[in-house]
Amino acid sequence: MQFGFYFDQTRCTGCFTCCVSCKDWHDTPPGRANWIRLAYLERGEFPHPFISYFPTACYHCADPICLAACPEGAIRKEETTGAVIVDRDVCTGCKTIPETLIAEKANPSPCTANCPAHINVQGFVGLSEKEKYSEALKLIKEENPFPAVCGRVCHHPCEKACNRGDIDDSVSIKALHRYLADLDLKRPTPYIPKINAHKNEKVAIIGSGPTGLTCAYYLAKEGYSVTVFEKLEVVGGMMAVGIPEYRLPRNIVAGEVDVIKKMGVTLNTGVTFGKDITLESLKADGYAALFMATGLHGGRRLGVNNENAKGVIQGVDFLRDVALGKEVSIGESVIVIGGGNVAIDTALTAKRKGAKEVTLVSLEKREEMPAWEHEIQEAMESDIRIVNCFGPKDFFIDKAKRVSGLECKACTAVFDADGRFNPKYDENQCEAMFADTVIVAIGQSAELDLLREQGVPVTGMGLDADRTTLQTSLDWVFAGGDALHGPKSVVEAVAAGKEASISISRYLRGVDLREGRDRDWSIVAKVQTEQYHAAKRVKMPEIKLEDRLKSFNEIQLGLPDDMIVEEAKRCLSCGYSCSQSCPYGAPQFGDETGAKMQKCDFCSDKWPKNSKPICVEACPTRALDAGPLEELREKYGQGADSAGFAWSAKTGPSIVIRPKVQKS
Amino acid sequence: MKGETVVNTVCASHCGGNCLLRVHVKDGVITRVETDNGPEPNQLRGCGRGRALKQRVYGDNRILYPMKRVGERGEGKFERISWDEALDKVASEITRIRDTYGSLSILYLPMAGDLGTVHTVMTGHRLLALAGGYSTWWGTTSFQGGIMSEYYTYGHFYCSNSRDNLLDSRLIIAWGWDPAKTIQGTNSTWVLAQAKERGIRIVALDPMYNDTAAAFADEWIPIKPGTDTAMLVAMAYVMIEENLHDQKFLDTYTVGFDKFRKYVMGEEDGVPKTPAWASPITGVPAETIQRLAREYATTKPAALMPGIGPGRTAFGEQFHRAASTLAAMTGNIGIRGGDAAGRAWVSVVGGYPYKVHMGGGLQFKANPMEDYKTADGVPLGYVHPRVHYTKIADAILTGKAGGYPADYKMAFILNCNYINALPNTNKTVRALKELEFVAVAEQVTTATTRYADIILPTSTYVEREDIVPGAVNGYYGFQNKAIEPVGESKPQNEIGKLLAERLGIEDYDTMTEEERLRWVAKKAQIPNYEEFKKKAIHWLDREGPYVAFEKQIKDPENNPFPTPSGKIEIFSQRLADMNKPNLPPIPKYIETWESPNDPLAETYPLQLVTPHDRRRSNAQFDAFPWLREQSPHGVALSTADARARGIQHGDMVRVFNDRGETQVPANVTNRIMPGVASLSEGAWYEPDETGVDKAGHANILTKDEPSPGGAYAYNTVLVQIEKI
Repeated sequence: MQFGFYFDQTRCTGCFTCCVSCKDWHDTPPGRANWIRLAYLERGEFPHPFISYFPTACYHCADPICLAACPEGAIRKEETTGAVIVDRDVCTGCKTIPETLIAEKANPSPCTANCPAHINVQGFVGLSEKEKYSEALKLIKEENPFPAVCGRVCHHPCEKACNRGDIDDSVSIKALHRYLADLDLKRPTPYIPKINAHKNEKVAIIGSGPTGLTCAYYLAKEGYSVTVFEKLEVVGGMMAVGIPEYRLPRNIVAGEVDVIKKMGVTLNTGVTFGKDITLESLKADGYAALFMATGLHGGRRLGVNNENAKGVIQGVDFLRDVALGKEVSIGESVIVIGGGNVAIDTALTAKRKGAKEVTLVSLEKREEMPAWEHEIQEAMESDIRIVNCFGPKDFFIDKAKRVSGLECKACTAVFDADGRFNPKYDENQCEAMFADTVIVAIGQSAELDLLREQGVPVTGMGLDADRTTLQTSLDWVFAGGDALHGPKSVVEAVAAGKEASISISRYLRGVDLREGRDRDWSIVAKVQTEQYHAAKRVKMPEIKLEDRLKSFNEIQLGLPDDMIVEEAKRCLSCGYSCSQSCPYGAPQFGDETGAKMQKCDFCSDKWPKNSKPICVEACPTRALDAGPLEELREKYGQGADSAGFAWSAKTGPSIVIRPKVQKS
Repeated sequence: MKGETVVNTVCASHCGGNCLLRVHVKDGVITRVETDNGPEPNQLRGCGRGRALKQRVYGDNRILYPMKRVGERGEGKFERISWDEALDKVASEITRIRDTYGSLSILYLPMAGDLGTVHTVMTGHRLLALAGGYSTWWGTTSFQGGIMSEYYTYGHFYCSNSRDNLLDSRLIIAWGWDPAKTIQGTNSTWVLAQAKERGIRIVALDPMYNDTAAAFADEWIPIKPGTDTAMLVAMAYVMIEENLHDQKFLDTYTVGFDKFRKYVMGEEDGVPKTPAWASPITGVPAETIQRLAREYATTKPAALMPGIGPGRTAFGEQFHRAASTLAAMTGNIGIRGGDAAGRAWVSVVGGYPYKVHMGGGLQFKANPMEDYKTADGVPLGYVHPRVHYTKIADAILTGKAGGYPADYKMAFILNCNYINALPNTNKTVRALKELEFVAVAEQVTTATTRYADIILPTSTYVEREDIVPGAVNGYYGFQNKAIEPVGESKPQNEIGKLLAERLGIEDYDTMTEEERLRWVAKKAQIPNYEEFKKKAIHWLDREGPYVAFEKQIKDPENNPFPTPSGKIEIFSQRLADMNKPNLPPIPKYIETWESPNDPLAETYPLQLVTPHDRRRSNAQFDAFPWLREQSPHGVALSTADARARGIQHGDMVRVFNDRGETQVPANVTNRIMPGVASLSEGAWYEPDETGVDKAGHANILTKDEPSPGGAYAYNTVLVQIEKI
């Protein structure tokens, strides 16, 4: 049976008797560990303020994510009450070194803090160390529906922040991530998250890139009916038609998309928003919310003479045509203009499409190039000539008005004193280059005409929405992803899709969109590195250099089975896994050295004596109750939301709430 | 837990509540605390303060042994001494000072502290009266304005209904009444929660959107400090002009309404007290005043609940007098669901008419130095040669030369954090340094014990027995002894007995502790002492809510009010006879000193209020870590005032005026009126070497000047706030 709490927010005066009686009953010393914390919320202007309180404890979730996140298996769920209980003899305090300052360890691990999707890295690496691979994968999938994709193409800011880097090399988080995801996809039935009770509202999503699909994934998990509309005939956005296959095999994308389909999301391809469907038609079809994640699928023009000549093409178009299996003819020599990741991908793809000689012309100095370092390295290894500090001046054309090359001028500075993009040229220092094809990959743009016609709020650059809530000026329409934020990586797209799902869920539930979403991730756990011995980082096996350009086969091969545990052991367990996963901050750690997890135990010892948790018996206004969850729901209703309560779809908190409502 | 016993007791810590605590004890040590889990609706649940009991009993600052000062007075250096040495010293100093300077040179400075019938302020009164006499203070710090008004209007202080009476109301006006913070009777907030759920409309008036208003009120009316009477008078104007008042009630039960009417309508001074007149004074829109007046006059029954904060202002007596007058005009006195609007907070004095009141556990002994015949013709509570408590420091510093009845040489301080509780701390500190001898009896080290020469450690309520009346709600509580006294601490009455022995007094208290409690129980007409002691609660028989003055209203012929006229005195001849300036015989709005119109406001533009704090009861509980971490102390400041001063939420600020300075974090909030700051009182004074307080102690800023009726002007203070 599942027991739960009831909280009548309309009766709470914020007197904190629950908190103090809990501390007394469980003899919790003053300080960091508070099994109940009273969240205070103040909104509104004088003379109409709105005040609410929320006693934040452990909600003994139906699917406790702390339990899932604990590598040691120290957390269990009681059968009789559903109480989530920690066994302090098993808890290691995430391998706390005795001298560690608990105040520091209580902060999130730098990997999690720096991951845009805030994956519980320490948790999944810890579980991997114990060979609990499917548990580890589930934990990743709480925060990211594309672990196999990100395990390949992520720019892995987690690793840059990893404390292990101060000892030798950071933990190979991305490779471990990929291992777990690949293992799962190889199973006959890959992991499909539990879907919450069906909800009546329908949500439409425009665009099936990582942003749109992530949003679909989380809304479907919450029980909403979700339909994704995709303009192209293939699903996946840039994962399918942008990132080359030698980095991201199509079956990997398809495998992760398939999970989303199995979750009940409808994917409609070949549907153009503004033509086949409109705001009006979606509304008429009963969609209660709409998420626009249309991406950046157009190129950017140079504004140089003869740019329209035959043989001058856009990088995004080239990559898309190759991805879609269209015939491309580029000749033997290709010049790629641009210094970013798309330019590199274009150059490497051109090589694989038969170009013998590929030159990449970048405005920036080598160290200023916006492409990721490992991609630049790869390009150089693959015999791509990189010409830095030059920009196009003019295209040469032949008699057939086909491009034959270009004249470049030296770029003396790309950025001005304020750091803005404002290139300066030396017109006297020019160089002529010749090629069969010139591919322009200097940036991406949104295709906005149809959106503008529909009245979807746009700016000159892309979609227009609140940067925190992603809500547009049309209250039921949300926008996110590259079309809002500019070109970003897949994991950032995932983060945007997740934020959108939170906003849309809140919008549909009538909850404040903004509340509690300003979390500061800048303070992270530190470790005393002198306590650890150096251990060599695992190396990702790759296909031989000479074989790479022969096909679109994936270059990186994935870690072998026998390296996983060893690599996972390198993790320093900087923070606490359980508290990094719990959306309610229930796991608590005292100020004592070597602190182990403690939290609300639901006063399990009081139930058999026919009494209720101490906080319930203490409340002077009888605002709290506890008992079998179904009985509570019968007695008090289904309320699950209120001001100041960060309800999360992740876990199924066992609490019924009578919310305090702000008077309009 | 195995081997645990559970002892029932009541926490009565000067909050107006008396709550059942079920104290778990193992091997003579308190392990944990539960509250009442008996059948509803009579559960008496305690608050977080009471639940932090272990930190009261076992806290680091608990005084375990008698101590004597070894450094300079105020330096805080003490060393342990024996009880014999401590008692000998106190007794010999009492004798020496009495014999050298006369009995009036001995100041007895107690306050409510722990409430009970035996171990209370009365121990010191009885002891020193038997020792030949002493000087002490007059004017009840908490609610002198309230009881003064109740006494002259109704004839006594028992004007409060039991809280459950509010469930029969149709309108509750919480005027500066914040039981969510201040308890004011166990279950007050529980009753308000139920009232709200029954659809009873609740309107709250306060410069701050207080916790009670935030939780329960349908409407909050922000009002400038010190101007409540103006609004009440303007409400009377609306009722009179629109003929909404209950003339029959006024004719039957009151005297002097006509004089009040003349004042209100402007016939007395040419100023009609219209809502338009009151609006700029109070900051409340005239329409709101008019609407509330109509609502109160036409919604019956309605309970106007006057908190004691508005009465803790200059001329605060007038607030309570005006509130009671409105209760009479609307005929809400003596009926279910109404309220006499005397004073909505009672602890030591008033409330339910018990047979035994606080301090009533010892036989009264008159102070031979005092002339009780002088009690007529002067404000309530004054007895010659008492000095108003706000003026005690001044009296110590200036003595006879300053016009006071004596030169004061020693102070015996009991149940009282004197430094924290009284206004103008810098003067209090100077005064304490002047005395020849200071003895303090206390449970824990406080701001006041630092200035003692001898500290006598007293026991907490779980270390001895007592009987406590339940303030407004009609029950007695029994404080059982759960554990042996911690350290060498002793119960107050035992200290009284031991000092009496040394002073050669034989008849201080001839009973044993149990005999004394049985004597109290008998006086209280509690039939079964053993059962009472076991359960710790004895409910007094009553059918439904207790309603003050029910008899007087139902049958006025046979039940006159205990006033000279036998009626509710809107006009008081006794006040008229006093002929004191600014103490008029009818309730009147009188502009306070340090109002926003005072030229001083140019330097100190913010009106400061100093309400009770949610984690303290006056100064009690301030040091408990479990409570400190729940609710950090700060000065509440409006967003507009903070912005104008470049202050952000959480910034350290200095709050200051000519009397002193305190430093505290800013709590920037939209819950407070612009122009007003709120710094809750009771934070333990922590001066640095320059005399600046670092604890956010409010009374370093308040003025040591009583209202003519004796009210304390804790909420009449101008300050400036600056970012540090």
